[in-house]
Amino acid sequence: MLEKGKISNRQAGWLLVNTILTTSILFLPSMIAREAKQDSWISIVAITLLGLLAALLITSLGKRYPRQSVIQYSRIILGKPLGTLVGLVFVLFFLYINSFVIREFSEFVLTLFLTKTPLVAVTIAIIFVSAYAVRSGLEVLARVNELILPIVLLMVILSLLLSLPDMDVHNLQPVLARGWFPVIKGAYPAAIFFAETSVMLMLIPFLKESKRATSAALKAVLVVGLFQLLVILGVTTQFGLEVARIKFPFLAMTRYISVFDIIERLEPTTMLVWVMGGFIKISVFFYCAVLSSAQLLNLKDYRPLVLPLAALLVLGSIVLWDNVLELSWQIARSIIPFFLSVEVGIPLLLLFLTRIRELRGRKI
Amino acid sequence: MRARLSVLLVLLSLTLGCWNRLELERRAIILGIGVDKVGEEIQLTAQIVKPAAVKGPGETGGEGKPFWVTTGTGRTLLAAVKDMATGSGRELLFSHMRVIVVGEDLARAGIGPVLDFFDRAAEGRRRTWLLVSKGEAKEILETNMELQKVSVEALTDLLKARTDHSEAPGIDIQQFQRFRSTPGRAPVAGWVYTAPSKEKGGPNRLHLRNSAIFRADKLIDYLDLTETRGLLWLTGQFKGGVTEIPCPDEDSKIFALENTRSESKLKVVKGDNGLPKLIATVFTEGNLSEAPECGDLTDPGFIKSLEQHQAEIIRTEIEATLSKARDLHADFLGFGEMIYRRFPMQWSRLEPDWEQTFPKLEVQIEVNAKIRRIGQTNEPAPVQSEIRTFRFTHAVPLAGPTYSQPAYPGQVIVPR
Repeated sequence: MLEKGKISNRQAGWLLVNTILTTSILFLPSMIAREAKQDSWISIVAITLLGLLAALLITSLGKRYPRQSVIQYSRIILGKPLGTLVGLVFVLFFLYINSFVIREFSEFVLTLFLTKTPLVAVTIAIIFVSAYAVRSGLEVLARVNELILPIVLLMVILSLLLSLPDMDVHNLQPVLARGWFPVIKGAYPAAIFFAETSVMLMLIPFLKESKRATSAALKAVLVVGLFQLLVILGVTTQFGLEVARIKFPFLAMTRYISVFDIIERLEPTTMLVWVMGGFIKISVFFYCAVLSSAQLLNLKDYRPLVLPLAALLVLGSIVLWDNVLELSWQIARSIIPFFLSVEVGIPLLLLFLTRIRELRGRKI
Repeated sequence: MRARLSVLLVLLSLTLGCWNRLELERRAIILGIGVDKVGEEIQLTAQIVKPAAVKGPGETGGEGKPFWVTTGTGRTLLAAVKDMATGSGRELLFSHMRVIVVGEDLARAGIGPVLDFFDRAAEGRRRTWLLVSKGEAKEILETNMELQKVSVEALTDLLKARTDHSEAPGIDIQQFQRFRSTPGRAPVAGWVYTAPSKEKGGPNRLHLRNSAIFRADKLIDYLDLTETRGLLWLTGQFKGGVTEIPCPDEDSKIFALENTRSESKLKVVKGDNGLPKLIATVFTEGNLSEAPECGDLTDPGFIKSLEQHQAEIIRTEIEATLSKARDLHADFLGFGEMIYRRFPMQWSRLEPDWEQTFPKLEVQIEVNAKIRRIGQTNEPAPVQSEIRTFRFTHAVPLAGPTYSQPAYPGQVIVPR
């Protein structure tokens, strides 16, 4: 076994929450509102339901092979050549999505806080920290997350509570004025976030109770859905149709806070959520990328891969996109089918084949 | 080895600084800016604090004004900012900016580009007050006020105190932009002007009064005080202020009422002419703070009649605002927004021609005004000689027509 540590199901659930929540809180409201306008919250409810289905699918596949990751059992299901190919797809997926998240992370910091810092400085800083966490192993990562997640959630709740005086529920009206189509269209980009439970495909073998992975994943999706719903309701009631125009509505909301002229400008809370949560998210995907490549190459230890892949991620996150527009265009449009087919499509196929095999086995 | 390395790392972290750090004294903190249109160029005026000259209370001295007003020009806002920066020799810091004053000329040409610039900026904050100035915004920023060290401070103080007198709406960038993007709502903003002070030869004073009316991002007209009050009544922003009620018997005698609270509700129903009809309900309560010798203030019936009188006055104010809105074809009262929210289907039919349709809307105004308290005294102190001479005549009830009839259904008229 490459990873000797074990994490509890609760820790796995917490990791999932932080992995999905961080980026979605900042990027999703505006992306959804571009299509769904004031009905964004309905999109979130819809996509949470789909996220639950995805989590169910992913964990029921993983539970059939409680001691193995997707890289390993896809070889059993599909045979060596095809299985290795699927493994390679997963490795590339984890690397690509991580480059994506890292670039998002740096762009956010650069646009709003460190406007004159070079991109590469921020990128290297975050990858360095993540690499250290990944080298220390899954158990350490899970425990750090147990410290970080409560802070992240608390900050989100605090920001929402302090913004209450500026919210106006009238902004939610009219409900479904343009029918369901814009709502579905708005939910579409959210799908890749809610299908990020696919990291469970790599983590299930290291759970203390692999058999009960489903409930952990479902709870995680529910918590993410709830927080996302609260944030969307918060920014929509405050900004109305402006949400679609503002790139980071959650940040704008925390900046707008002013309670009794004393508590003002709480954007550090956003920064805290973003840096801490972003660190966990990047580390989780980094860990998956490193572990999956080690398993693909049949290595005995994944640690030698950490630094080379870190370098690759720095490079990838900088050269793959020319500017922030390409990045946001991709995430809202072109990349979605590819991500979804890896996150949900391949697991569905694998589960389908396993089921057929099980049925056949029973017949014989 | 490991321990030493970690100690080294911790120590190293102490030596690090920010990439683009800039010490406070190397920065120019901008408190407020004014934007004007001069010819084809944008003229940006900034009020920059001079930290050394801002003295605490009790301290005396300090050389000249505690702030410095500087300008920059350019065809775009950024060019104007850079022009200003070269003239000040320091890095300009916009994150403490509290007010944007837009000159009338620029406002008529459209303030969209200005708002876009500050919306886009990394340090942009949507809780920045937006005001339109009569004449040049530069003049506003150059005005000295007596109590505040910095005139932007005076503006923000005025804005905060606006709920005390309700003479102008308090609109920040966030609200303005939200109005702009909401269907069926024309934006408004506070109006600020300078006027010579009352004492002879005194310096100019700032006044935050009236409201600017926009179509999209262009200033079209402004509301006078009465119309502004109507706007505030209708939008539920009238949080405090004075309403003057003439005595039922004698118009020259005036009651002064301090409004402490108000609420408003807009309802959309089907109207007779096929168009939606709006029902606006305004509720307000207040306390009597000044009473002339008129009527019996201890009589609840008389108070009721005063309340009715007040409701009538408020209604007139609202009607003034309404007729202005109809004349301008500008829906700054948010009637369209209300229809859009309640009846989106109907709104999609009305929207293309809204500015023409809007004046034809039927609007029903219901005002409910309450007088809660009358202060520490009952009736005003009578003039001594009058008491002696007219003691008996005074005892005769002042049976004015307004309260000898029931002021409200079911009123018990106490015979005197």
